[in-house]
Amino acid sequence: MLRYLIRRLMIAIPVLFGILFMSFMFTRLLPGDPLLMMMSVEEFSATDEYMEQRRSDLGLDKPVPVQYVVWVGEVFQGNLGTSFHRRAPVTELIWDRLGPTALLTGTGILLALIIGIPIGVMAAVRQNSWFDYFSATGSMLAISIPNFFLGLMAIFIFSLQLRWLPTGGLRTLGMEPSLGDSLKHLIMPAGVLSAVLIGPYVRYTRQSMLDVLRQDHITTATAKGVRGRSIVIFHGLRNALIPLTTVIAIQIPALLAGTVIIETIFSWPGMGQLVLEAIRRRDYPIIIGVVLFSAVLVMIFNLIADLLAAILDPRIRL
Amino acid sequence: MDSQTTPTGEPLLSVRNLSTTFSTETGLVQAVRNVSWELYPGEILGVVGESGSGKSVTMASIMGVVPKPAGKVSGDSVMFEGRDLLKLPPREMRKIRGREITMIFQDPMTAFNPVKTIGHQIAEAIRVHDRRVSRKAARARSIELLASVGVPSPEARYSQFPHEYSGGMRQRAMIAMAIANGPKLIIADEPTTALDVTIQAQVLDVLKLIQAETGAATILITHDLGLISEMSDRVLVMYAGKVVESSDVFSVFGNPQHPYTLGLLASLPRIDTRLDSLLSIPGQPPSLTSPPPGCAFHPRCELSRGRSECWTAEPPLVQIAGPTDHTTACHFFTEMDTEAGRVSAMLGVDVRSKAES
Repeated sequence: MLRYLIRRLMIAIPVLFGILFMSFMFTRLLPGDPLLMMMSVEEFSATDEYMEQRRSDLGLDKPVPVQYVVWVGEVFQGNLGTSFHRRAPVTELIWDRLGPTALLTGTGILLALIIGIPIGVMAAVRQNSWFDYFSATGSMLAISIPNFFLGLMAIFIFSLQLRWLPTGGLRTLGMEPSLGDSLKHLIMPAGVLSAVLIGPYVRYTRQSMLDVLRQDHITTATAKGVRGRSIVIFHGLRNALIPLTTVIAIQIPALLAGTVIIETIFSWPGMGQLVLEAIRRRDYPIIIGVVLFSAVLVMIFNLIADLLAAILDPRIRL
Repeated sequence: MDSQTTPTGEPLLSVRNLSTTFSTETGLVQAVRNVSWELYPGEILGVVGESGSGKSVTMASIMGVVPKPAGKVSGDSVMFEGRDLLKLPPREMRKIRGREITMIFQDPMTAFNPVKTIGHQIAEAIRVHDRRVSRKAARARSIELLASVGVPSPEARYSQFPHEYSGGMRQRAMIAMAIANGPKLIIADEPTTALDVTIQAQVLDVLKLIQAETGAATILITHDLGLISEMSDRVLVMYAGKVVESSDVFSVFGNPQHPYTLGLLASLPRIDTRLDSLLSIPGQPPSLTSPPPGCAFHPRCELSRGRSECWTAEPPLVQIAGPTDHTTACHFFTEMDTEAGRVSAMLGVDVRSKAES
């Protein structure tokens, strides 16, 4: 197990450097002079000597490979540069937005799993029954409806017509933060996000379960006299979860990097909003920071996926 | 082979007119067609036949593990110790499965759950039937069972996963699981087919030993005639979902009364004589979606040449006059002696085995 972990980590290292290199290349390929972009209005009248001075202060006069090494060193210390527009460290900006996004996607995924897996299991156990067809139609529908439409419909029904839930935001402004208030704000965006995810989860679970239930060891369990429900859960689902875990773990970073549309509709102050705003303002340090950040996330979650697979499947530990 | 040739007393299992069908996209597959047979306590019944002859499906039907809803089991009765397994409620059936009737499967590679330890799976078989057994006791019993089937260092083996076992060891563990609850009947579905020949012999020895120790009646499904002749007391020959011949092992091998049985014997490689070629049964096993009319074997049968009876009338399973309980389903079984002589002459060796084999 430990050896497996170490081997996976060793593989991750060159990937990490690949990511760093590509990110650095992007900063170099950006149009315009970084110095000019960083300068405030008052500095535009500056002399050439002043410009040269600033350039060497920033290390921009050094050869590119040296700059790369310096940059990598800074990244490892958590410095991703300063936002042009906000004049704040990118790391800090990302960090502030990560919490709300993690909350939203975490709740959305959890909700989708809690609803999707049992439906998928039932659909597999009762293959070709009305339940199976109904769940297939339902998940197709859920996948097909664009989430912006679903989000707007939800706001229209639950906020405008029924007036049960707020239209957006993380919490009611000017109110003491409370769990109830946060939940009220969370429920709709997380629900819409889970609606998008449930469909695939139902289909994955169903297919994975069907594959497992066809296997010989299920017959063995039946012949042993194990109860139907125990067979489905302890022998069936336990095996079916292996491929499912990988699918979910790989999906998480994509969601964390920003569920742009849902965050925008529900004015959720998350990563998606940060990226959207940065793109609109050409705030390159933020964009590159987020790209680097999500690439690292993908790497970490792939590692987690591999680890989970190894925990769930003893055959992988070899 | 020291047991009696004609079993006496009450049968342990009595199958009456059992049929099993599967609905598929190409039509209704009649996997088992109206079979009846008995199994007596303590005996080993060998069931032979080609792939798709309905051997395994018959056993799955008895165990109630035919995949649903595609598979449908019907028939008069399957009496097991006074209970009709066909009419037993699922809860009662579950108590019989794995306790009174157990199965050993063909492929030990796939018959174990890959994510649970072997020990856990044996202990599960014990605890499923008796919740009062503690985890510790089930573990101790499982280790004992592993030791009894010749798995070395059973303590360590208990906590290993199926992929850490070799094929032969896995099949031993399978046997351990099958005898965990002291069954009255063990159904071994081609227990050695997936194993190397050397390992086959070892596993068979274990099986024989266990059978002798427990005295459980055993049904041995196989297409290996050598295995049948070595292991079983009685033989059931199946073809296209039907029983075509049954008798004690000596009569079936020494005096085959059905052309299909003769065909199987003639196609066996022999160690005692040098043959230029082996005889094979011409043609293919019939489609079970639409079995041939009359006798299902007639398109491949030498005896049926030019005889309309073979494809118009289905031969009943009849008792042959004689000292043993020998039945066959052939219109012209009286000609079997001459036919066996003809085939033997063609091969230059008597395909019928001597009684002392």
